[in-house]
Amino acid sequence: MNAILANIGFWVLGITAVVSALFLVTRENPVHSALWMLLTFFCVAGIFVQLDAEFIAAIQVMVYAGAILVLYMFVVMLLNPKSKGFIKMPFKVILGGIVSFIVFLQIIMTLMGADIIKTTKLTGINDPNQLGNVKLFCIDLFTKYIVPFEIVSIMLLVAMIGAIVIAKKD
Amino acid sequence: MTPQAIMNLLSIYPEVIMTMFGLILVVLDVMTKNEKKSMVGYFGIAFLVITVLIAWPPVGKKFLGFGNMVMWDSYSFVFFFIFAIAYSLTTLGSVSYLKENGILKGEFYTIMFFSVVGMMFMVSAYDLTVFYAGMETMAISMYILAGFNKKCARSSEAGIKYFIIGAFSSGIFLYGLTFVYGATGSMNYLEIAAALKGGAASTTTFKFGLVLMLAGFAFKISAVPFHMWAPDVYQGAPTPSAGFMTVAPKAAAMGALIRFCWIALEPVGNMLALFFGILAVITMTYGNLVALAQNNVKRMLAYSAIAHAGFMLMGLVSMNPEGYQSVALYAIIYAFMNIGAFTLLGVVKNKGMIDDERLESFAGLSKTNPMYALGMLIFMFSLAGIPPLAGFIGKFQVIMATMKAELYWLAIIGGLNSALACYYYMRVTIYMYFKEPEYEVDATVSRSAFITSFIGAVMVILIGFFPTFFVNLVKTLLV
Repeated sequence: MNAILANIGFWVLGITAVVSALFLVTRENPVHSALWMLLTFFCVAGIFVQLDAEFIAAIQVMVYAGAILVLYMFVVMLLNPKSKGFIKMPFKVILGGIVSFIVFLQIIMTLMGADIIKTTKLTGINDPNQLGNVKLFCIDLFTKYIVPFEIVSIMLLVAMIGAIVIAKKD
Repeated sequence: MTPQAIMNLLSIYPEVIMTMFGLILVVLDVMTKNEKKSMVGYFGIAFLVITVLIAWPPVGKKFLGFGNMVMWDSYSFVFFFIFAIAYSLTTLGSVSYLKENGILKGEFYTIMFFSVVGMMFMVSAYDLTVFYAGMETMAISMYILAGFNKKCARSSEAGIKYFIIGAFSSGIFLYGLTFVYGATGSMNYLEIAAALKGGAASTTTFKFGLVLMLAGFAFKISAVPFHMWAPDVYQGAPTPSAGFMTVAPKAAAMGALIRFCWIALEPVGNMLALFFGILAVITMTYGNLVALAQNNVKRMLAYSAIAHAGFMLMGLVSMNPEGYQSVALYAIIYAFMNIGAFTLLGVVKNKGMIDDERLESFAGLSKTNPMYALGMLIFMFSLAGIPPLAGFIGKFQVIMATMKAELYWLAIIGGLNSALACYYYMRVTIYMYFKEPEYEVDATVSRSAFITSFIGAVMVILIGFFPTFFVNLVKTLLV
């Protein structure tokens, strides 16, 4: 019964995510696009919850739906772009469509016969006696992946300096 | 300290020292006066010299730390040395250009310095997470350097274009990475290799992921058909950044790619050779053919940078030690000649109504400014691969490595391509020496540009005339 419910939940969330993603790229009004994107983010977060990754789901909602989408909305409001409809380049549109369709088919074919190794690294997240999701994630982040973590801090420093250089008035 | 802790520190100490020096540069930048910002760059060079001396290679020793994540060995050192050369030459040659364009800021040097840190992590990575974090550090620095001249529309365009394409390619790379992780269960090079030996190599998941990852790599080294950003970005970016961008990130991506193929993808090496062979041929041929048609020297050098990337890829195809030794040597030589050429390009100012970098600006420069013409002649001859100069040694080594791997078809195509490339490099020299001046052109070489181009030219000649010493040096370092 539980498995069936989970299945239904997955299909509902998945189809909603795909459909809203389609609307996201086809709407002419950028504000509408942004709102459809919000729905996509929420659906993806729901799928993460189903995979027992509540932490990622929360981050998904906070960072993407909260921060990044608000940023998009600001840019849209500030620039107020007038939509010119679809780009008038039928050849490129057709070529792009064909290429993306081929890639899409490849992804489908790959996933149909996928032989993903079941990693055992995050076992115990369902067990209430074990460490929680966040704790497990952070233990890995601050022990095993400490070097990439520190490199990311350098990267953010560079990005900050760069943003100041580009935005500052001389 | 436990031996493991010492090993961890040894595996990462050059990067740690570089990061600390970078932070000092940020502070120094605040403390220097506006008109003396070039001091920041000079301090950067001093710091690099110190780090090079401290991190001098432990030949034969390998420091692998943090759970097999970061490796410091002579291979990492050689590539660090290439970045150090690129940084120093660019810094020395950039001062007058930046001053004339009103963008002499300390941040230019700080960001370039931090990009070197990112590139070091890329090359010394033994884990895809470290590699990716390093690559993004480098990439973000490059976006900023490309768009550094914010008053110039072309430079801003270059920055934004590079940013969007770069983000896009990172997305493709990461998508591929998830597939590879799914198929092998690890992001560590050694564990990926072990999983591939255990049978993961034949799965569709792995192959599909690998193709996407290699596409991401190809974006970074501007291999055809992932090159569309390169000409616009190199042309639009301020000339010193363009010189740096054609050399250092390309060498870094190349070094990281070689390490990734050599360690992680070793079990599927044969499959890769054909892929890289085709990529190298398309890249070289396309870059050279389009460069033939360019009338703007900066754009021509941008396309020639694509062709050179193809040539470096050739060294990868052979999948033998000679192959990657030749790539490292090629990158060193390319650093000297290309940054030299870009520096000299930066001083040309056409007082007529056309772009400074148009071919017509170079007409008759040998009469008005013989020293300039001589410098440009040396770099163009070297880029074309004319025998007594360094460019020839680089190309020769790459072709020899290909011959050793018995890939004669590739060697022949490489040879034909360098003949093709001669045409457009020679065209610049012909304009300089055999045409009458059409416009009033000011090509006064400032002191800073003179130093860079002088060092570049001297090194190009030295490597060209005494190749054995340099070839052996690279060979002993990269055993």
